Amino acid sequence: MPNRRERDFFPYILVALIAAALFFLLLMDRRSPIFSTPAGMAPFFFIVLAIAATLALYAMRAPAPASEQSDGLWLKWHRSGPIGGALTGLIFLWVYWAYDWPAPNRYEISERRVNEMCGIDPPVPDDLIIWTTPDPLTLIPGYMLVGMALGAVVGFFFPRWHKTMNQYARLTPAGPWLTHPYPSGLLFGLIFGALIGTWLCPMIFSISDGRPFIRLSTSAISVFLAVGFYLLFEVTHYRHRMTRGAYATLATVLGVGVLLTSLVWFLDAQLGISATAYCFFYDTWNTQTNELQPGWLPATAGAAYGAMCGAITMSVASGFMIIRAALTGNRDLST
Amino acid sequence: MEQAHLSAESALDHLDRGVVLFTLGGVVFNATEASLAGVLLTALATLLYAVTRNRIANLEDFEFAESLPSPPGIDLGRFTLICQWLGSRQLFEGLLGDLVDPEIGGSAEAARRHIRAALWPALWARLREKIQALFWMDR
Repeated sequence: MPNRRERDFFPYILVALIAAALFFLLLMDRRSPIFSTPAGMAPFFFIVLAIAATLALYAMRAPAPASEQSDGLWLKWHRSGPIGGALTGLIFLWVYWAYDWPAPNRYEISERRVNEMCGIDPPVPDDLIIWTTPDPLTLIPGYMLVGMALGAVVGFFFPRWHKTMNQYARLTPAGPWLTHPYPSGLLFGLIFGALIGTWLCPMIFSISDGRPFIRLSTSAISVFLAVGFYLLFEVTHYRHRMTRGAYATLATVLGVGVLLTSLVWFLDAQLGISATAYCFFYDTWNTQTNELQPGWLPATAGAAYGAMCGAITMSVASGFMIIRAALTGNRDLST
Repeated sequence: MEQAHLSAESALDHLDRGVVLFTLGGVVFNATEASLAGVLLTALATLLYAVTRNRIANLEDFEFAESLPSPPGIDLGRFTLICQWLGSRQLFEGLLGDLVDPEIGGSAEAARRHIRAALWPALWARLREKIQALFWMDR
């Protein structure tokens, strides 16, 4: 029986990637059905699970490679904040398209349904509502740029934030918990997410080119999947040094991410938060100029939206920092 | 240990049977509704499963192959790779063993011709036997 530490856990990560890819496929299936019926989809599920089972078996049987693989070129590039952010932006757009974009079988949240959804009286006439939907491909540069900017913010500010938190924690008796990357990251995500959301959400809303409103659940799923993928790719770099404790941390961090995402999804579906948020923004909408009127309502809604995305992002991202710090003894979070 | 290995193999055989039956079901369900994408994705997933499963079954069977000298006219690396992913150790040994015959392995050209003519039909026959076994048609 080989020593557990000598095994190569990379296939487990492959299994996780396949599961995530399957999830994407399901999202896409929701937009434009690939399988004829749920009965047609069930066999596919079973076969993918069977592939995952055989890969897990491989992971248990395969001996560890003789030498550790050197840094792959793309992993190195992947590790920088802006490039990770740009990829996050792309995944975000993909889920947005799969889950929210107008399709015959989709319940859409957009101006096209505003009268019925927000109960506007007197109704907004059709000619004041923008009906055309932009081509999603034209959104790619914008999403990548915004993702890149957000990735740069995390890469640049978070190490400084954490350093400040460490200094603050030494000075106050109530602060030791802030020295841990997880609460520090979560707080960073909440505060910076709220700040960015206050600025970015009303701005995106005021562009109003006929695209549907991004549901809260879409944002949560996209952010979790994008950052989760990023985390898994990063972990592959350390896979020959991963211990059982590190895998437990990885599982915990991903588990917390899944729970947070599920919670947002559930609340959104049950309470119709996305539609309420849309109407919240629309209350201060100037239909003549297609711009948001100045006011606190959209800024408040944007702050809440951003804080939710920021908390999920940093909850997963700080997990990687804990794992890396445990494996390399490197407490510096700047690389 | 041996017992655990045998029970894992038996569980995998049941998994194979499940995959074949679910593939049939998936193809039929999607075909009746004319969903070509569904049929193709199900078939692709099955193909991926079959290749992965076969490679894992051969995981420890080809370690000796690296030390074997290449027979004249045969690209042993390529031949090993095909047998690892699509075939088995028995098939690998059987076809290489044929080359001991002076009629077949006497010249590089004859050896190449034999491997080319025998490899793919042998793989096909193996697949057929496997499917027959999964449908209890071998008894």
